[in-house]
Amino acid sequence: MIKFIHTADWQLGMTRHFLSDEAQARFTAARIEAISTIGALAVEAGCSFVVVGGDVFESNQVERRVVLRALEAMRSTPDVAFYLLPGNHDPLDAASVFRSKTFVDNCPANVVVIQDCNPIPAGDGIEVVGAPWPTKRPLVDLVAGAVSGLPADGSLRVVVGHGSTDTLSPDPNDPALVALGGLEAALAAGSVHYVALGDRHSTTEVGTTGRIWYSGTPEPTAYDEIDPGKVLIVELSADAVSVEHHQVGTWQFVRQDFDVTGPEDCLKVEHFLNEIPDKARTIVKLSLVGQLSLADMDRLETSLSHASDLLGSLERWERRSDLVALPDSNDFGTLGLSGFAAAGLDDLREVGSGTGEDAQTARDALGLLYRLARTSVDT
Amino acid sequence: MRIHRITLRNYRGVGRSEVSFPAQGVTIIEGDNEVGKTSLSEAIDLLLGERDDSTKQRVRAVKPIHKDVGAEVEIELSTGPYRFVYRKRWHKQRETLLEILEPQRSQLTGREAHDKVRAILDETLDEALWDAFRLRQGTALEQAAFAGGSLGRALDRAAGGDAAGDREDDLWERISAERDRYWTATGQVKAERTALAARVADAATRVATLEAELRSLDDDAASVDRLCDEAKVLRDRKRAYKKSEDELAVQFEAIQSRRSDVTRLEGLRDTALAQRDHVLGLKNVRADLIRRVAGTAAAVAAIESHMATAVPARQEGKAILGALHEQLDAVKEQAAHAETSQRRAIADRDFLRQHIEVAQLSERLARATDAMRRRDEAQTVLDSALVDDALVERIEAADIDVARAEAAATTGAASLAVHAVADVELEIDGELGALVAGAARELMVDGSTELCVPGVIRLVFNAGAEAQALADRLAAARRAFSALCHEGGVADLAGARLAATARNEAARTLVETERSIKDDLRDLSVDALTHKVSGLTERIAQYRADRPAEPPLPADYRAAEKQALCAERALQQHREQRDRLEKDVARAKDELQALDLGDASTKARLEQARIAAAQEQHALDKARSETTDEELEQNLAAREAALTARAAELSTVQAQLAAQDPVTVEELLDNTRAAQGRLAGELHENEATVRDLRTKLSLLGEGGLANQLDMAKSELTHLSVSYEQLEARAAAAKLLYDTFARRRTEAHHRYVAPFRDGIESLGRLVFGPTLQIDLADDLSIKRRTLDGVTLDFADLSTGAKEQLGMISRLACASIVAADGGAPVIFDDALGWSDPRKLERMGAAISKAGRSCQIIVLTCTPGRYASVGDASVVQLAS
Repeated sequence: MIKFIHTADWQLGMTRHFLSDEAQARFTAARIEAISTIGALAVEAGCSFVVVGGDVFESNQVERRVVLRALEAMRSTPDVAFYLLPGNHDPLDAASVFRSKTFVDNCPANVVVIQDCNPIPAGDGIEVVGAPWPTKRPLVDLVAGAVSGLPADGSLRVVVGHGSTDTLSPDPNDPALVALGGLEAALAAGSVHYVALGDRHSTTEVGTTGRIWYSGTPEPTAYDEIDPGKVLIVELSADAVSVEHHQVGTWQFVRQDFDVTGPEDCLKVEHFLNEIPDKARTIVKLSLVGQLSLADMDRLETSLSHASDLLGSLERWERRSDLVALPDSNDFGTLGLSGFAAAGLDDLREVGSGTGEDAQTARDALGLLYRLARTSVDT
Repeated sequence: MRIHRITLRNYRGVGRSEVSFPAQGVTIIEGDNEVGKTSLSEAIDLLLGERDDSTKQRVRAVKPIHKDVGAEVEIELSTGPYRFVYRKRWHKQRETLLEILEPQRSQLTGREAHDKVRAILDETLDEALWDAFRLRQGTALEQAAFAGGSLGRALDRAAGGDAAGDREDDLWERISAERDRYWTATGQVKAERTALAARVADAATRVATLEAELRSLDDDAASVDRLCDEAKVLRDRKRAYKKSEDELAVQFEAIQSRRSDVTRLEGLRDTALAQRDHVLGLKNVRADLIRRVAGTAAAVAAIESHMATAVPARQEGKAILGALHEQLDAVKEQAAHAETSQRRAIADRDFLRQHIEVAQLSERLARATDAMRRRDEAQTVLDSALVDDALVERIEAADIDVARAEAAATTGAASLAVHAVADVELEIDGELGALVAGAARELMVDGSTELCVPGVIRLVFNAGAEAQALADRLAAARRAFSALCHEGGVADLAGARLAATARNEAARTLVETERSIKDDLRDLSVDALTHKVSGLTERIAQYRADRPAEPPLPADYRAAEKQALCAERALQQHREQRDRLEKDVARAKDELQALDLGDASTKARLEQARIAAAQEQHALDKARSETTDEELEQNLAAREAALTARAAELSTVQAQLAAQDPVTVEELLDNTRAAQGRLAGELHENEATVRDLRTKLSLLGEGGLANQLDMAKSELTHLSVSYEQLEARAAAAKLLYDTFARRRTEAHHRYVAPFRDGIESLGRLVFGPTLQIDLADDLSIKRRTLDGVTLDFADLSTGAKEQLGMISRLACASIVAADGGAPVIFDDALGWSDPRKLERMGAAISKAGRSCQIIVLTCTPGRYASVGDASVVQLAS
């Protein structure tokens, strides 16, 4: 009976273009903090080691300080061994970060990079067998290669692999797919007892053995991830396995679509934004489609701007034409423009009611006019 | 606004003054300043502008002098829908009272009243227009302050448009300012925008650069992997080559050992060969020796045999020589004989030839001598001849002349025929003649002819003048003829011809004889020829005397010549024979001498040959005593056998070596070694490249390129969004500006035209029908054109400026009057205008007054007398 933590896809050094510098710094820090959290969790849960199923780093060309901080975070729990597997983002090629001077010089004793398929003793009668990615585009099923030839000799073996299984991949021609059948056969033969996979950022069980899992990423990285932010605490014996999901992620990605056609819709959007918890660590993508009066648009923009200041990031997922500001009679009625100004306003409204680039520019001009005329009235 | 009535009380020096105005038309108020003419205008301002408790200077200034009461102003006016009476009193018993008459009657006082009036005015009166319409003395020189658009709006309204107001103007300014944020005055993109665009481009470049760098890193990493795989292959191949090298090396060693065997056996064979050759050499020396012994012996024998044949040959040679000598002597004698004969034959021949020669020369001499004589004779004739062919011709001509003269004289002169009846003697011209009977004589009478019968009669006939002339001419011809005959030394023509013929003959003879002399003498003179003849004659005689009689002289030259030829030929034959024999003798002598000499040398050679033969024989004997010929032969046979054995041994081992294929083995061995060298080089290069790439990768890997790229992409995204937004704002601002500008210009054009028409229509009353004006954007008059002459407003005369300033205000007032407008107030204006212009201005004011309220204040009664349709109010003091 052993207990260990299965995690993967730390993607350290990942940057998101929609984040401000400040938010990016926190986002990056959170990914490092997740390592400490995992270490602490391992100690707390009595796990003897942590296997990381690939993509520890976002790239082999990550910043030096990302490497240093990651190693430092793992150093803080010296009794917990971290078995790091090079994945497709950080393959063990000539440019590998794991062989960089920074990594090698600062690697603490409890951190082991899985450099080949040889079983690594990880305790009494326990072996970790990894299938590191040697290049970005391997041409074989690396995991199958690592598993083949392992004897059913009573050793308890945890296989660490990276990549999509053939049952999940949309591309059946990828030669590097992990063949599920072979793994299940090895599990059945008793030469292997758990397969810790990485690559999918969503926590996923594969097959029916209960012993093949994608842990998912500990901190979410994208909108389309399902149930991210987890690590798996695995309790394993030759006869039994239990996999416990444990939340470590602190950030969330949220995407929401709205149809906006009037002030009520604006209120809905406002409400949605207001209700988001832990805003500073939430990345929101809004899709707004519809048509608003200038006044409503003005108000919506104000509330979005407000939310944007609070949230980790507020992305607008729309083309300029998806959400149209079209002045209605109220917008300028209160301004009571007359003479040449009234004529000019009518001109712009006529052009703005059409479609295309000119209409958009005309609507922008109307928005500008609205702003200028209103401040003019206010003064 | 219309002013209906103004009442002043205790205002400055005015006790009480009230003026009423018609709603339309011109009201002229005349009076001194002191009586408050100007005060009317000022009072309106105070009433509308200053509260009753104001302590301003302008308020204090209107306090009545010498009276302790407050100044009071009351106006009744209508504006918009309102009509009211408004009164204020300042200084003392301050009071403000407003009584609104229309639309709703009401009454207000104090501050409330003041504020209400201000509100009404704000609502209904265009203050700027009101201000512009009030013209104080001198201010008409300035154009009305229509800027700010109040006039424009008024005009716009008047033109039926929806007037824009201050708010629109303010908005316009904001729109312009907004546009100016993005566009320069000339419509160019502002630097901030191009700068942002440049930053976007820079960011894109940076992303591209970083992406390229990362790609290059990936490529390098892939290269390292590939190179490592290649290195593995190279090492495997190198190992394989090493293995074959080892195998080949074993074979090569065996070959080398066999090669040393071959070398050793070659040495043995060479030794045997050398030994055999040595014995063979000895054998050859012996054979040579034997050959030489035989050779020397043969030489001795040959010499001896030669000597035996030499003696008879000499004897024969001597005999031949003797015979030859005898023959030679005989031939020599014969030759001497022949020579003598030949000499004589030649002398004979020469003698006979000389004989012929003398005869010929003598003949030539005789001919030459004769020719010389004849030549001299001819020369004598020539020298004396006076008549030549030319003279003959002249004499012939003179003769003909005489004949002609005679004929003329005969026909022309008198002739006298004398017929003798009997013989008679006659003397004619003194010449006595006789005439027989029956004879007749005819005489020519030229000059005078005298016929006399002597003793009987003397008849003298004298010729006439003509006959005389003819006779003279005849005489002249005859004289000429005679003169020529005399010149030629002849009597008459026949003589002359004879003499000429003789002369020509002599000349021919001279030529002929000269040629003959030349032919005969040739290059000799007569003397030389003569000498030669005599010399030859002498020699002939001498030869004849000297020559012996025998043999006889040949018959003639031909025979002599033949004899000489024969003698010559005989002599020649003898001489040739002699020469031949002399040569034979010499040869025979030589042969004999040679025989003598050969005899001596042969003896010497024989001696030498004998010595040589003895030496050789001795050497042979000595050699044989050391080794016999048989021994030598046996030794050689033994050596040959040994050599054959060694050669056989060698060829066996050589065949074995060839069977091992040493060339192939060696080539293969070299090849495996070269291949290993090459592979080592490739490996070395491979490792160096990998090392370099790893170094590069580790250096670049530390640079955090991925993060840099991510950041650059983020920056690009942010900048692109900013830029798009900025551009969208710029486009919006421009569109807004352009749209409004267009509309604004349109509005402007709408009211500018009526305004200009109004000014021109009034102005033509003053300036005449050719007046045209141009308006500036602020509606001020820019230029005036009159009678085709255009001047800027500033360049106009003061009077014209004043007049145009008033006209523009009147025009404006007329246009806006329908919409309320404001009264036009002139305070003693037109001070600059001359009476004619004044009169015309009066017409213009009168015309404008038909549509609006005009108030004219003046202290110069009569200045506005020309305003036709005006009410005049005299302000009394």
